[in-house]
Amino acid sequence: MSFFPILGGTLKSVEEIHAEGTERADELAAIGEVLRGNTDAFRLIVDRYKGLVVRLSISFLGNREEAEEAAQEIFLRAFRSLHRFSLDKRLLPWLYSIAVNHLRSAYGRMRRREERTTAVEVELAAGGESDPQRTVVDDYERTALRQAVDSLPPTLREVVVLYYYEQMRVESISSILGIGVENVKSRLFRGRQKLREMLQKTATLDGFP
Amino acid sequence: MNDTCQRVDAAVREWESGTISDIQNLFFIINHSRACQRCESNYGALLPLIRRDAGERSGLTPYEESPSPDFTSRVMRRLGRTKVYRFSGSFAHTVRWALPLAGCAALLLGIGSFVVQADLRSAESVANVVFTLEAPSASRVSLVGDFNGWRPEALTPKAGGQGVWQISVPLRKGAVYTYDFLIDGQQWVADPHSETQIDDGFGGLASVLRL
Repeated sequence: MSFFPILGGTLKSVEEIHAEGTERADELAAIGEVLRGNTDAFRLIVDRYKGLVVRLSISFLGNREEAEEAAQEIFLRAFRSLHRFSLDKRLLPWLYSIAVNHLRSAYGRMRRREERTTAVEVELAAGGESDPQRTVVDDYERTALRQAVDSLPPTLREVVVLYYYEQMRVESISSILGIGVENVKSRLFRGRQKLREMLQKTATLDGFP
Repeated sequence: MNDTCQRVDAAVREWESGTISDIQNLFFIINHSRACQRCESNYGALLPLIRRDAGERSGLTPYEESPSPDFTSRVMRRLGRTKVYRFSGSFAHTVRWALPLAGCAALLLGIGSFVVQADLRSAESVANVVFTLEAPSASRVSLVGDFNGWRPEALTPKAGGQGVWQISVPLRKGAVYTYDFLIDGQQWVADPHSETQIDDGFGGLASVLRL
């Protein structure tokens, strides 16, 4: 039986982020305006979700400059696809799907340029959360983990990033990626397994590789 | 390796497979790994993930602050004068109207839901325009323009090929159209055969066609 509890609100889902009521009414009104040719109405959508999209981009790409550029492109793609958005659906999962699709290819381009490792090390060394108890060991472990995550196959990497870096629920990831919940859990299992294999320094006596 | 380390190994195995039965086992892994050199070496780098599953902050996402202050302005500037429309019909009924109208449009024109500005009443006022792009390394090439609502429309590789892609589109004579090619869903390319190119508002060029 799997057991991954939600404690103290530290885990979030797309549904929790997206509040009902006034926010949704504002969004539908803005989308309606955009689809009547009022491009400036899209500003509300950008303002509301730019934080989430930029942070998701940073989680995927690890480089703030690339992440902001990618986030801009995500909103442009969302705008161009807005006429296909179903008004009875929630906007954020749709936006996340566009974001993940774009970030997949953006990440691939970054890897091919072979700039990532240096960028990630610099970003993690220079910034990060304010945590007085964070040590040099913590930074090293985070860098090692990030490099290992980046080495995962793309299908495993994206669920690991969404689940652990974006702290999304399995159900939300399932919705965004368009795969079943069991598939998400399976990929998380394989992702954790590969990460442990990459990061584990010594073998156990009982042969646990 | 002592019994405690063996218990940590077993707990990590459970965490890995997603079958851990007691959240206290996650804290057990975390606490012991900080005190034991062997377990810290094996599992230290995994602790942010295990902390996340124990309900603690993982500390993995490095940035919490907002995007740059001019982010929205930059996006809106890049959008420029671009517009997107849903097919005609009142907004309240857009969902209900779009599918059958889009279906008819798709059947007649092979294009999805967008505003059709061209007047196609008379065959004499319409020309079949063949758009061609040489892109031998492309996997797919799309045509995007104001005549199809800036929605990518796939070109097909020309028979006998050598990397030439083409599509025939019926367009009204006497009008001016703006368009671009999109290669592999990522690279925007103006038509090298077009006589006129303009700023597309995205930092690139769009092609202009006068019929």
